Amino acid sequence: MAEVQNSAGDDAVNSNSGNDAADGDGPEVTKIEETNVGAALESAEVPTSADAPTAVEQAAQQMGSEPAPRAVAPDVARRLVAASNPEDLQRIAAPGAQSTKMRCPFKEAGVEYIDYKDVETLKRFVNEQGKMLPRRMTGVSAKYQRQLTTAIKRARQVALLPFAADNVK
Amino acid sequence: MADANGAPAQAENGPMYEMMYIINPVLNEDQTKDIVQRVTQYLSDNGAHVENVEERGSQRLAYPIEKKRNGYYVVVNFRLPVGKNDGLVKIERALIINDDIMRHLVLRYDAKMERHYQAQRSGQDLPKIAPPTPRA
Repeated sequence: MAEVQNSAGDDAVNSNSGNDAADGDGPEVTKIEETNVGAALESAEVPTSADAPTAVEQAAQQMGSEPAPRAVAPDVARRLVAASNPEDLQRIAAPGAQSTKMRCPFKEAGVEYIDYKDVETLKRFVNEQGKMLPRRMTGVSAKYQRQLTTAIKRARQVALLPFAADNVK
Repeated sequence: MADANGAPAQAENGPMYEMMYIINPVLNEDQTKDIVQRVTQYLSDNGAHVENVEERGSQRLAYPIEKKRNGYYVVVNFRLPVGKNDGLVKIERALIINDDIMRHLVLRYDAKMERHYQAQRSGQDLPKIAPPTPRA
């Protein structure tokens, strides 16, 4: 849940900055934005009956003061404007979408250098055939996966790890 | 290359290298010892400052090399002055030519690797990754 909220907050901030840039460009663009916000406010059933420009100002103020996107209805409205498609928001906010987060074992342990001689560690990132496991299964961060790749390939060169294990036996 | 006209480069200040090589396991103890000694000697003859020789002993290979299932692993750490890379070329060439050395690997350390090496040398506990967690 917390993760979803965070991502929503990020997107809201992003869309906000995008709108600001559009504001600077010309009056026509801002008008379109405002009407969109108004429509979105209606569709999202925001309790405030204020007209669109003040709602935008409120949103801008609340951006600076408190970063709680769930509580701030104008933010949701702005997000709808940015997404221009309510289904997108529903998809992003859908419950149970990637709720468990993987953590990089190397980052957790504070490893700085993955040694190719440390076969016991390397073996954990290789399947029975001797193939490297994908990051999506091991949770290794990209930074360490790059190191790990080098280490495993070096270990293979000096026959500490197999290139391919014959599991026929 | 860079300090060609400067003071003679001190071997102790050059970058650290690590060289692992695998000796034919069929040789007897004296012959193995002789090879390790000769390689170390050859390194210092070519301008390297050998810091550490670690004989990891006979280990089973992950795959057969030259129809042998075991190998005698040796790891050497040495420093080489910046301009002396031609010495390293000579060393590697000698290792390839020597039929009793089945495989070798030379790495030059970067800062991370050097820190790792120093921590290992001083007997510090290196960070170990957590035991595997069962996947759902």
